[in-house]
Amino acid sequence: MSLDLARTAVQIDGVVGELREREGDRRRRLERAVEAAGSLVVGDQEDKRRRSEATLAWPVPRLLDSPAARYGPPGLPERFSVAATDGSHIDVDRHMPVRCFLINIGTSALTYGPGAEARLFSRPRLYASERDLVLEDNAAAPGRQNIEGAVLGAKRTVEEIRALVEALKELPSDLPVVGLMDGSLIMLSMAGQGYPDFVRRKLLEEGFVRALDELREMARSRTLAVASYISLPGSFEVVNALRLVACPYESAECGAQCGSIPLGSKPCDEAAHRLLDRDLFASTLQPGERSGLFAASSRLVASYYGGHEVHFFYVNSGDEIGRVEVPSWVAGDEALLGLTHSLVVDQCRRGPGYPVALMEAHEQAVVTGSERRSFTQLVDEALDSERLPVYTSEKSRSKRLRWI
Amino acid sequence: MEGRVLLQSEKRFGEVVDASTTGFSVQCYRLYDAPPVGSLVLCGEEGAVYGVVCQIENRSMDPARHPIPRGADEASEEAVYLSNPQLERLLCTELRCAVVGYREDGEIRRESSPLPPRIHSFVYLCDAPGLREFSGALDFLPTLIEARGVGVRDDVIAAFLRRASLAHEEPRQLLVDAGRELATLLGSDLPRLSGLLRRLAV
Repeated sequence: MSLDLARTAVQIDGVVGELREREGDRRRRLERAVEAAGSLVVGDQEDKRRRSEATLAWPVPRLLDSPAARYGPPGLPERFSVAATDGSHIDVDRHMPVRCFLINIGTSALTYGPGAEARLFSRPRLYASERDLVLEDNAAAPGRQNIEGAVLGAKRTVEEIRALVEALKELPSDLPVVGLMDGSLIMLSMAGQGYPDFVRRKLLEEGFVRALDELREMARSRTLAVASYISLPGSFEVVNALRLVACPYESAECGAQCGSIPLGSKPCDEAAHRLLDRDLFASTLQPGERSGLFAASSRLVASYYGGHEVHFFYVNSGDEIGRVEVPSWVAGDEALLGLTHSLVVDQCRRGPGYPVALMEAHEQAVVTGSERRSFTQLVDEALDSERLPVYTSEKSRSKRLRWI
Repeated sequence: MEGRVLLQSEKRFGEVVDASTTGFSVQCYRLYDAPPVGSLVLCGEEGAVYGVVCQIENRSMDPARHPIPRGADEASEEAVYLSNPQLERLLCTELRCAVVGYREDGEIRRESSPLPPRIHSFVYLCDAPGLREFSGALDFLPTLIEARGVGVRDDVIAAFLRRASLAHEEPRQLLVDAGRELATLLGSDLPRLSGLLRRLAV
């Protein structure tokens, strides 16, 4: 055994003790946050946010509604469809004899009501040609980015939304439909300065956003919404908005006014420190209800999403508080927003606990450990049959054989 | 092996997913669409190998995923499937058949097959004419009573003989003849013989 469980257990006990001590403090802050959400006046809040925008230390979303607002789900249509995609991949492995990666996209398309039916399938695609393995832009310098790691993760997200477009096209056009993705609509791995601009343009503008454009176009001629669902969301953007309520200053200049006060003791920490949005909405939303709408504050979205703002709401699925992100053209259409809300709640009920369409798409997409090994073996055999050299690193071989 | 031309009335209901010369497994195209235990089936596009259904299983396709109760708020069992259309894709009906014969040169040989059916062989349910033809001679009985290893219990033998008898003009006669044949074959195992005859209610 390589992990010393006895030593680890002692450390776990220590962490639990610390959490217990913090719990009373957290409850008090949560009560304060619920009060702040109730007392918040959206217009005043937005004025203060705009005044403070340049000097805020926290990303604060634009409030389209009060954080205390609650909405019950509209009734379900008699017949409707839900499509979902999810993906998994086998990353480039430099210990393998061929440089390649594989993306497996799982799709589920479920139709409910009279004539209920289901389609579940997966489509693997192997990328191994030189052109497949890099993103290139001759105009940029350096204009070459290997597709692996986080970039491959982002490419997979692009393939997921492209597969969603195809799945939605194949569903009956006279039925209301929601297309669901797992996780965020904001490709967070592409935020920051880690990658050259052309990588973001290729993956976002020419990939993800182009698919969003296509979905918006499809929604002009049929009842179609698209959303992403985040289970157990760890975000705290709405809680950050409450900081502005608790902030005693006319406009917040976080660095100048409170920069010297330790974290946890700043005035705004009273309604926010160590709280997540899901803590707040677990206190306010009844099962099935959704929160008001908020507009995510993201430079990535502002710069690359070509007018598709990302709006979000929280929903009490009955088992947890989930976060639902929708493009602004869904959020701005009351019927599409209501359809998204009621279908997400219904999907979680059928799950149970998590949207069943997403769960089945995931099951289709998942690549197990033994499948990964079989993939490596298939590559080896294919090379061997063509008498091409098969080699692997000694490190990889030693991991497989595990000799003593 | 060369089979016979299948009749249109012989319904195709699944495909072979596992096979040996003594038995094969069939996965049904549709959930719960299995012929009952004791039914005679033919597999191979030309109807080359005969099998008797000896066990049926409804289960999850993925052994790692277990069905959970879903009907607490539903009015009927059918409603559970309507509300969860994915179930039809995630559950399956699989049946195990014992090989009881095969066709060669237009003749039926009522014994284990020299070659197993191919994986993905189509499987058809024999209707009355097919059943009558196969049970026209009782020389499949030694194979059946020795097929405990592939799951043929005595109630399967009895169920098959009762079904076969109904395809004949004089059902009782087939059961009487089968009883006599069994008495010869199981003369040294009287408890088993009497149990089988009781099940045949001859």
